[in-house]
Amino acid sequence: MNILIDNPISHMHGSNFLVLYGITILITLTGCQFFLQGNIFSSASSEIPSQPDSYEIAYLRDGESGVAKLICLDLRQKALIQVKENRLERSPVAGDVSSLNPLEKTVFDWLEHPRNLSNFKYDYSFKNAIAQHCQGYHQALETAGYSNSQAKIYLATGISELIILSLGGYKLMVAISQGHHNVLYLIMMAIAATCWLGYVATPHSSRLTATGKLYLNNLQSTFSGLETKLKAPPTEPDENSSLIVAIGDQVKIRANEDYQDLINFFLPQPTYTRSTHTSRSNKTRNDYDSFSGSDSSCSSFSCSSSSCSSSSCGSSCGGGCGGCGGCGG
Amino acid sequence: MNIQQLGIGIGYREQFKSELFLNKETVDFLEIIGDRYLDANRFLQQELNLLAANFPLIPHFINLSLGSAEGLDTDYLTKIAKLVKQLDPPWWSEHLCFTKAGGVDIGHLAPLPYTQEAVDIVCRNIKQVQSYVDTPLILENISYMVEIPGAEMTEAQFIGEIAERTDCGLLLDITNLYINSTNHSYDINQFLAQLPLERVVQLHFVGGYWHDGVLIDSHSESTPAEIWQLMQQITAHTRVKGIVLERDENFPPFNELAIELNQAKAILNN
Repeated sequence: MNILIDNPISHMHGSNFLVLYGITILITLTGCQFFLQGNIFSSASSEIPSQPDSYEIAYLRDGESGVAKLICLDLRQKALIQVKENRLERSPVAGDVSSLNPLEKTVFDWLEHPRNLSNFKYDYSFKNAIAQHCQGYHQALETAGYSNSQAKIYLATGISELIILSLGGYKLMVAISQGHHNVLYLIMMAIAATCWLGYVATPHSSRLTATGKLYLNNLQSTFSGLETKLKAPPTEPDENSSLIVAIGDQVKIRANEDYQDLINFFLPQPTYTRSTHTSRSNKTRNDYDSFSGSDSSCSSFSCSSSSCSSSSCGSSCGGGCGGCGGCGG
Repeated sequence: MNIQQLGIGIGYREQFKSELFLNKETVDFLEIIGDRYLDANRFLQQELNLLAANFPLIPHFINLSLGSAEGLDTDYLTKIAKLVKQLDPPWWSEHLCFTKAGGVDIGHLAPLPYTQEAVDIVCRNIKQVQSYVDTPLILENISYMVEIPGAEMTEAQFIGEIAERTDCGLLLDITNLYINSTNHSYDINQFLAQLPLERVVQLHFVGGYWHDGVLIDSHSESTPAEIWQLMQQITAHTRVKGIVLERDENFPPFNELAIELNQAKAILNN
């Protein structure tokens, strides 16, 4: 038992221990992040499926709520639901629902009563019902290394928390048992580390691995160029529209004139006002990002901005100077 | 030449990126403008990685200026070598022309005089290129509005002698060939008879338009019947490794490009 009270750590001077504790916290948090993010330095891209599954992309991007939004679009295209007074409800002229898939049926059934946006965001029984149907997507994305399971997140953050609290708690007990009461910094460091781990444990920060974020970013940049109009009902669901909604290209979604009611339901007009155009634009962008709940949505903006990088090389080879006889390429 | 067959490709342009990925099965490989990625920023590097993860890539360069008498820009050549090594393609291509003279970038693919002196200069430059890049280089014929006077040989003999002396393959742009033969009134069959067809590795094709009695190499129109016929004629004589649709402007819906790609595939497979 002597080793517990007679060891280098118990004898270590307070300030020296704080340095050691700080380093331990740093290594533990970094290790936890690496474990959950995978190789953040890898820039290797994944193969883009030739027939991308919009539901899977929506699930990758926003989880169950992303899938639910997409289903609402499908149901709206089939004229089965409508938006009335900022509420989503079944259409009074809803036709045959026998051909709906289980996911669509779940959402359609849930809309038996009119629902507002907060119902949509915070009704956990609804989210759980959607989640049950999304197990296949979850498994596939996890197997591909794009997302972390909740168990993996809890394991990583739990072990990290155990290391941090064990070391800090041990030193705290030793200090108090030896009559030292200047332990404020020690406690503050432990609390800060715990808060950070709490943040890491949230689905927002660690649901996707670095590879998953890169894959989503690639999907967004690949398909953001799709020119589409969300087709007015009654039509068959339009795959391009679904893809645009799935990748969350907010600018294109906003630009659509059909379905403004549905778009406004999910993307309420920002109320922020500022005198300068630049700052207003920035805030608008942030509003969209925070609504989407995905840290990757900003990449759709940044990727679309990369379109300006189409260098002169691309066109100079053949077309650009065609009027003067082409350039022979 | 012992090079793997790639099939039918398209010159990658950002304008049809989304539709290209939704129609991946119509394209066997992509030809990328290598110059675009020589000093790639993060976004372009990411784009290159994405393309490389989804398609075999063939880099096509436009500014090496193989015909420059003052020699090559070794900085540019070093960057090309790095990019080609990164992509590891079965071949890469450049134009048989000059784009720089006296240190000035003329911004245009300019024709060379068909003289022995020009052959020697181009061969010297290509040897230097080959000392930097191991991957086989193939040379593309260009379209031109003016013929440089003082020719000592025909264009086909010029291209053929360079290819033989440097052991390079050829990228036969059949649209350029058709346009030149139309604008300068020469016989395509005679041209082909003088060309070492067994060295043709890849074809380029696309359509141009008429302006004031001149056929313009605009890369902006669908492929005309004469060029399809030419493609059939050449593929009947030699086994090309790849055929690339090189559309740069006036982009139609991708399904129209896909129809052209499928037509080229049918010709290649027959």
